[in-house]
Amino acid sequence: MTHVIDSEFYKHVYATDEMRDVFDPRNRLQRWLDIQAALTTVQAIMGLVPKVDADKIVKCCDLGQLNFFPKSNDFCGSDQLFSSLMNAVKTECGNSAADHVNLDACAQDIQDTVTVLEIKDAYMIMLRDLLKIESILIPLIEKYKSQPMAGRTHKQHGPPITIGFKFAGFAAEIRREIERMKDMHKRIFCGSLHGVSGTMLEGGAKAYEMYEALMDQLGLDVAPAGLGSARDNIGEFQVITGMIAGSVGRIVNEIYELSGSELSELHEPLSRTYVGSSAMPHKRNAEVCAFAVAQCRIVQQNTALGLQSMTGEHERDARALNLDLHNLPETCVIMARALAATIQTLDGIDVFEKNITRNLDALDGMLFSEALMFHLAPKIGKQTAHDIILFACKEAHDTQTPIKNVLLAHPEILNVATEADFDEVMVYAKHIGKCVEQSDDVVRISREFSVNDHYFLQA
Amino acid sequence: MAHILTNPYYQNIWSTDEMRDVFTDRHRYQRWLDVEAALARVQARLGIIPQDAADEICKKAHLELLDVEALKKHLVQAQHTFVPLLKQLEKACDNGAGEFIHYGTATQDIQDTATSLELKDAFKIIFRDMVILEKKLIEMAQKHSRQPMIGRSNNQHTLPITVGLKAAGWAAEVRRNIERMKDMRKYIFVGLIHGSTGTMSGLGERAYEVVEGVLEELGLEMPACGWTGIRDNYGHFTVFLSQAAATISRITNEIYQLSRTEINEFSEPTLNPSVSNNSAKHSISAQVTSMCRIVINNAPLALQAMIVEHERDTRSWRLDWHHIPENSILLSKALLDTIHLIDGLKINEDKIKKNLNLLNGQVLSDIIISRLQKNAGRKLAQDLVNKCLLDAKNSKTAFNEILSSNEKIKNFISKQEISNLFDYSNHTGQSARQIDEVINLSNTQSVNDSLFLTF
Repeated sequence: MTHVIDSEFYKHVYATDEMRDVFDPRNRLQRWLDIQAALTTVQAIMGLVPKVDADKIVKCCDLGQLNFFPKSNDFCGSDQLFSSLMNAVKTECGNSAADHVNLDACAQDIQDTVTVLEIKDAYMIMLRDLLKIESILIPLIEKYKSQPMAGRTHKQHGPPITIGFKFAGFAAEIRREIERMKDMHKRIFCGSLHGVSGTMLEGGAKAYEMYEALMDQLGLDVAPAGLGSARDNIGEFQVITGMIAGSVGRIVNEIYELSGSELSELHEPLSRTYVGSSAMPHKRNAEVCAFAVAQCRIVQQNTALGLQSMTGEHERDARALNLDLHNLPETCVIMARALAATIQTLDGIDVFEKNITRNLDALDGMLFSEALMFHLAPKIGKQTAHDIILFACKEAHDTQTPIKNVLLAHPEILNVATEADFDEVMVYAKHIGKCVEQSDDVVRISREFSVNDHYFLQA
Repeated sequence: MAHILTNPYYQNIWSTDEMRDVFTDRHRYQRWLDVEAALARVQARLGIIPQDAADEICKKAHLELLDVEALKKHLVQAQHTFVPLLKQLEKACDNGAGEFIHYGTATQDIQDTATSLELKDAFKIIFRDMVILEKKLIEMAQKHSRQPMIGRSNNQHTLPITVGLKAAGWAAEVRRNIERMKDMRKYIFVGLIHGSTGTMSGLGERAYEVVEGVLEELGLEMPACGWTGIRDNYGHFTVFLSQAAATISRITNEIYQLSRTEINEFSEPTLNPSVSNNSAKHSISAQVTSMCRIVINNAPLALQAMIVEHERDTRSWRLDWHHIPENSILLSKALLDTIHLIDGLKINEDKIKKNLNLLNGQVLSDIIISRLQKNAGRKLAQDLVNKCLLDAKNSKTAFNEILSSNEKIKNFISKQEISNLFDYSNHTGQSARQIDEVINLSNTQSVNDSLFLTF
């Protein structure tokens, strides 16, 4: 288990094949070649490379054709791997064309541009999965929006919420992450062709034209000035990814908590082949959720590295940019798995309504203390009712008697209220505030914002 | 493959075969089987399971005898990290011996005990290399013990140090890390065969004998109590690695800075001299510095993993799979590269001398005032030197020249003495003694180093 995302036995637990492919080393080489091919095409259009040579080069920019299988020991840096690959292209496409394979001087530009292409692919996977999570949550909101469940603050019961309201809180947060992703789209997908110090010296007189045409070919945006040590775009992507891990982590952690033996209100769906424990056959661990929480913690922690890579010195600083080589694949691959785990958890989530109702009444009606106070206020005064109920709750707790019985036995209440009165007040569904309206608003806002979602999923 | 440590082109830049091998999937699974085998042997010896069964389990507890493909399929179906391996062991055992595997223990027992064994291997590699690095740094300190170089505070020149003192400061810090490793050894190499909730309930009346027996076979310590929900030992290990990374990156970052074009006091060797195509320059110090940043960044995760809820908590526990291998592998390579870096570091003496005098002796003005005031009094000494500093600035002439030709100053100190005052080698304080002290301390403390290389 050199790293768990590539583990022979556990890669399915910590990674998705799809996201691993985005960062696959061979795919990265092919992306380098794609950029060379695109640049050659542009240069041919601009009349800088003869068409016949350009065709040759484009044809050679195919990793499958190149037979390029270097060993790790051959390299002491990524620039070196890059120039070896370019040499392979030169050899393959023959003398006259080889003179026009000229990316060597821009090795770092190309690596940065490839990184942006990778991020773009990763972005689309993450956005797609966030949308999927939202789309699973919305029917759950609608189904359960008026069904009460215990509200909990600091692990103690507070006024009830509804099951749908909890899902609505998840969905609203996920929608905000979706919008954050959409916001950064306009900024972060800029490629580079600015040369070693960012001045575009290497591009000659037509440097701007060439750069703009190349970015157009690659579907990337043009940066107003060379990015060099400015890695805020990559930093922003990593920070937003860290935030997504925070939001998704909250969802899976909440489900993990609510799946504990005492609560048992929600649970990730367990397959027929699920095994809980090597020792205890009864175990129903929320394993998918638990792993996803751990994964989100790793992603969040990597955010700090993304920020560190922004503090580069001068025009290029390997101490900073090397971090991305580690950080981006690890972060994106683990994030993708946590997103997939969240989808897996929510899609077919077990909602144990009986336990939810049972837990709701864990305090034997004491949660209605405020409602009972207002019910009694017109008859005996609000402050008086408050004090009586305060002591009654204490007695109910100490003697483990339902609050209703304690109050009905109280001399000042005896004559002003009946059990039937209390029963009418003490219905959880009557005390869910604006859970339904808020749930509806979350669904409505999601629909409004989603109209342009598809634009961001296009390459 | 996606991770930089498994990337076929880069993995040897970021890791070593030796440390990767400690953590490979297959190696890890074999360790799990080794723990199961030790358990069976001990339980047979105590009469808890039949001897025949234990013999069969030990015979089959080898990964190459199990159906790994079936195991992989089962891993996906079962969503459990260990049962599928156990199932294959059970299947491989003939004559019903499979019924006696994993007798009364839990998944975490096997996995954590094996992790402690991994840590032990990782510890020894890191300890060994840390000692080598210290040795290289001491050699550097000795070789350049009297060579003055400029001291810098907040990136500005200040009083001189020696090249040797800089290296000795590194060596002393590395030695402190070596001693920290020695201290840590007594906490982290413990096993765990205590069952699901740590009570040992599954092991019956002779539970203590079973656990003690297994841990003795495996060469691990017996903990005072089970630690299913307690992770301070692994937290300690990772946090230590992060601290060591901070030490190493202080060294490599300093070399990175001092190798810059303008300063150029040090030059780095190439990472791999056998590489023919070396057009692209690769800075070892930059590479090590970034690897160390990653290791440092994992410390908070290991600390978070210590906040476990109840008797077991996958949310914390499974962070281990990330930060323990990643930190061990990266730090190990960082150490090796740093050894190589120090070994081949070129000390550019001419440039060091040139930089030393970049401000034409202005850095020594306080020292000159102190000397001058003995004969001229404090006020006059200060005024005279300050005037020289001002004249030097206004006339764009070297401070040492202006001061040496100042007639008033000559009244108080001789020309020869002024010249001595501008000799930087006279102002390196107790640098040489401090280097000796570092070496002496290392000699004293290293006496028992060998005990930590084989255990």
